[in-house]
Amino acid sequence: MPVINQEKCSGCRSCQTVCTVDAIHFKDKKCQIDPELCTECYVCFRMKICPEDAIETQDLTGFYKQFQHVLSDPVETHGVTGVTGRGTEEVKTNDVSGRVKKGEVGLSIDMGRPGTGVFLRDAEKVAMACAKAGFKLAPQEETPLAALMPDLSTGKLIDECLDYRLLSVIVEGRCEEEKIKDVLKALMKVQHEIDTVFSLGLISRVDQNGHCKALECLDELGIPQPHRGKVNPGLGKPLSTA
Amino acid sequence: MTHSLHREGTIDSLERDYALFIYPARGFNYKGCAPKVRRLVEIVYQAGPVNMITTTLRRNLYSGVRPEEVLDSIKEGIRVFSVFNNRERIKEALKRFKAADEGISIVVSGLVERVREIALEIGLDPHTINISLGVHGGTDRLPPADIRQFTTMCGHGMVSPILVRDVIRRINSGKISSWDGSLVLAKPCACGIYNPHRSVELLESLTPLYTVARR
Repeated sequence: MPVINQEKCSGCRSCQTVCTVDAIHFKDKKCQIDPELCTECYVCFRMKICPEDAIETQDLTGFYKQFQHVLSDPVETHGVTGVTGRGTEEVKTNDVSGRVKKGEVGLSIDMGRPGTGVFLRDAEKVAMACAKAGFKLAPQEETPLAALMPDLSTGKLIDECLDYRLLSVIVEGRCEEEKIKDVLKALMKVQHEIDTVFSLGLISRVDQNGHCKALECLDELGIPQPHRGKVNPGLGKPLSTA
Repeated sequence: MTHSLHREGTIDSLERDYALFIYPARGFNYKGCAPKVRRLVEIVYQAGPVNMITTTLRRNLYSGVRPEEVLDSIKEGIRVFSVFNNRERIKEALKRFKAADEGISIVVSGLVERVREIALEIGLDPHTINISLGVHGGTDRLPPADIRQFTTMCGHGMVSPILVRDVIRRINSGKISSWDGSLVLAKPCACGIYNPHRSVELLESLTPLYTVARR
């Protein structure tokens, strides 16, 4: 975790301006990082914001601390997926990987975005609600959170990790098109049971008319019609036609 | 990078905001991708992005880095993130990507209908779409929407709402310009898709409305 060397700190409070989760407190004329709130994103250290160079890093002890850091610091690379910036390709390369196929719908449930952070106990609630509704959670090779999930069919996480706070973590996976309404319903219910937010992305192959059948249920579920998205125009090779 | 899907703002503001990614696929076309990505990055430079970062160098367009340094840093497994504030420029980049046919996945993040129009105009058939269905849960915990227009411009949430308010305060007290303030906000963004031109527009519309006390 980054720490502020109290002997060097002049109390200028510059570091507070860059902390993404307001984890730096000013007390007794000095700044201190709250270990309960810090997500290990390292932006305070990386920005070199401190005029006294008082922000120092400590070794990350234990798997969960390292996990917390790799998922919160966008310049770190995840050891299993090999992806920087929170460790998942999501569906950016779906034209090649075919991760989400025709007749399937993917979801990327970005817990803690934008800007509230997330305790893993809330990620567990969402993962379990989705799994119960028929959502197939993505495996370890695709997404980091699966490393903490001994049984992908339930979404339950390892108990020891539940109190760790990350800047964000993605619950992702896919289901058949017919099941998406049930999964979205489950998400609209579990959103009232968590102490954070999630940004919800729906992934689909696009038909010849540019239509996405999975969006037909949104009005019924009270989810606003979308206007923003990420479009993969199919320039990757070898092209997946799945 | 999920903020790139969920960039917030008015439709009018988002009309001048397109993020573009070059993304070799691990396990599929990583090997030998470096010269292909280099050619694509050359196309991006010529099209005129307003910001860009490669994962091999992590220095944005306003860091003083030269294009040659960026191109020379390209190696296998690189990802490239950029942002445009002009529909015609991103259309030009895509048109040239199509002609180059390097076989590397490209993603465009923006208003879906605009991106679809552009794809149609240049004869591209979208393969997959990732649609933003908004933010859910304890939304009362979020910073205000006008601040989120800035913080959601970084793909990884590295722009702090406190920093946004601090920049507004400094602009209001005449210490910095809205352009310099936008570069301050772009600095923590490690993915290079913070759009400083859009940021200037937003700051100029917001600063008259804010009276910000120093924290």
